[in-house]
Amino acid sequence: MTGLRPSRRQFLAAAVGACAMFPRPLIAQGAQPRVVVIGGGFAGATAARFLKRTDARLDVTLVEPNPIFTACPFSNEVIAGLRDMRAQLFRYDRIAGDGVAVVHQAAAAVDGQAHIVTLGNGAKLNYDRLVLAPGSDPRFDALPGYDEAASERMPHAWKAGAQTMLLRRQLEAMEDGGTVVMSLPALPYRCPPASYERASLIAYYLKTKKPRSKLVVLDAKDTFSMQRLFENAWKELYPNLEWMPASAGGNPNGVDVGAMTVSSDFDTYKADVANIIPPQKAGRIAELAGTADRTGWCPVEPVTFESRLVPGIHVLGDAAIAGAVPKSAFASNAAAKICAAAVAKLVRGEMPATPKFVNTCYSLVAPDYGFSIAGVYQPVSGQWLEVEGAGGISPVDASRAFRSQEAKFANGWFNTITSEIFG
Amino acid sequence: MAIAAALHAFRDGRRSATVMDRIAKGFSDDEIKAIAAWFGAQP
Repeated sequence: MTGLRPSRRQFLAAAVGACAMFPRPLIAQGAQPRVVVIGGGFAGATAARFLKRTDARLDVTLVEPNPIFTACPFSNEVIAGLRDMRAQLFRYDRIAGDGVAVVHQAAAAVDGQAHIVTLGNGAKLNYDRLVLAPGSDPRFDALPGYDEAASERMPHAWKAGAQTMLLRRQLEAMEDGGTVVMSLPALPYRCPPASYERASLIAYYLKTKKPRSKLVVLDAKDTFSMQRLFENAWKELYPNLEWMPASAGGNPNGVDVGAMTVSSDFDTYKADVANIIPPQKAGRIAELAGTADRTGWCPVEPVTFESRLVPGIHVLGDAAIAGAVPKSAFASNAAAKICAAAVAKLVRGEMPATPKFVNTCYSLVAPDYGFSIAGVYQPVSGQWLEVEGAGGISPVDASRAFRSQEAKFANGWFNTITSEIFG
Repeated sequence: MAIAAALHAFRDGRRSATVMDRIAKGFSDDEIKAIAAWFGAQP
């Protein structure tokens, strides 16, 4: 599964549907439409590459401060000591090789009226269309006691990189017999199933390396995606994992970094290692650009992913609220292709096609034990909805061979998507 | 066409799968035809 062979997802983004001409072309004939993409993750890097691939004449700039991308999917395996961090790292060379101008600067400001992006070094970029894909940021004001400084002691590890390695080192350094406490927020946030995958893989690490230790999961929710699959696996594999839903008093309501405690509505837990996944919001630049609403996320139109608040700006990935579209790497990649196709049409005054796309999220509860949730999405009455009768979760009664096969396919998915975007 | 036949078989439960059965159910006959045509046109 390598390289640039077109995949099913590519097709789906390329989309089915009719195209009509817009009456008014938005740019003068002969001019090079300029598209700036901010954020080089699964959404932004896909958008930049597919914009150029859709129409080589487009002037595409990708603004991303980090020279190396660290992927979140499979970083839970890194935390559990099952995977080397180097397997998570990707460079932008091939994207640049496709003719995208890759600028390793932070985006400091966006003027949505004048269509200007100001970079961290003061340089200014004009755009005809702007694609914002800044991901999500922790809300450091949401959980009492949990600010950025606290995250150095109680990592969130919800952005892959130094935080991932910090949590891994803390688990490695913990003595056997210790207690790990995880804190999970209410929806929406980046890739919710990944928090239960992480709980599973930390339980796996403890069971295999520190068998007298335990994991307590404090959750602001009572129900979650693929719950029966996770709970069955926990019952079978992880007596060391205790999940405390909100209704059982598990709702996390504060941390004390000095005392190394995490409080829930009913109790206070002393942690040897604490992993706090805080409430989240769209990345800062989305807010600065005026595309985030009072929820902290960015409402967008279906098909084009154009902001409902600032015309000319498209918002992709975890930052966007797009109906039923999940905050996953898979959906971010698919949506980015749809957006790229739409933007390439819009800058030439043409009407985008109406697409349909697929999402599949794999979760691992052990290295050879995986399952998935899938969905097919289409725009209905101005919103992305799941196609009824399609998608759903892996069978609850599947064999271990089936689970093992899905674990393999999870790896295959990661290799395919990362080679498509960065390879 | 092999791709269209496979998608129909996944959709109708005549071919076992881990996830393709769930995904294929989201597509109409015309869409399956379009998917197969697109893949068929790739080098």
